[in-house]
Amino acid sequence: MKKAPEIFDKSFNDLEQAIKIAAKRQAIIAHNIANANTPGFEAQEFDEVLGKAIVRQDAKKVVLEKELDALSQNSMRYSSYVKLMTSKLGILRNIATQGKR
Amino acid sequence: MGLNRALNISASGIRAESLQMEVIASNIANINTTRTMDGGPYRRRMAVFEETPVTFQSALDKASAKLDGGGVGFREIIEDNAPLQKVYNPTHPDADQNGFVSMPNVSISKEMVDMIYNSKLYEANITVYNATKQMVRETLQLQ
Repeated sequence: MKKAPEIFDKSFNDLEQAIKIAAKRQAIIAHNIANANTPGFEAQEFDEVLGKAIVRQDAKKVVLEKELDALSQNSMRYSSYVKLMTSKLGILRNIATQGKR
Repeated sequence: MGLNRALNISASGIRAESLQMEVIASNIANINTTRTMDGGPYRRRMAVFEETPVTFQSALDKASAKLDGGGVGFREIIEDNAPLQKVYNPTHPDADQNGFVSMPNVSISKEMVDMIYNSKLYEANITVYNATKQMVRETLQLQ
């Protein structure tokens, strides 16, 4: 017999984690762009394995195009996570309110 | 929250670029200044920025492994030590015995290039700020 899925399954936690990481990455991108004029500054990126910011290895100097590309990708990723969360909450809301009909 | 920090960092970047713009404006405005308060001709100024760590703890982490910081800060304004330009102009009140005047070591083309680069950086910081603001707005609409 197939087990019924739980209402608040693991994907909620995963989405929350993904949103947190995207927010952190946003701060790193902002930091890189803010320091584009800082002498000796090395561009950083978020390392998902270590869970923290590290110095970017391939291009240590801040390249504005690269950062803006990362920015738009990260913003889109963030909004897709938030939209997923909203739709999951919508499903739950539907389930919760159907009973009264 | 990470997004608030991102907003603060972008704001520090915007402040840094506007300060840099002030320095460039001062350089261009003083391109013909031969007398300053310190005496002698004006020397090209440069703003130096530094990365600001976010907390004491992250300052410690940064010292060991280079971690995420809290934006950019202003360190100092330094003067360019490049040689002054000697211009032959015997009628100038600041001309020496040979008729040469020491003019500021400001190059208008360099200042213009720096200015354009800086205004692009200013825009980039605002772009990040707006993108983050949009993300915050989306989070607030999460229901």
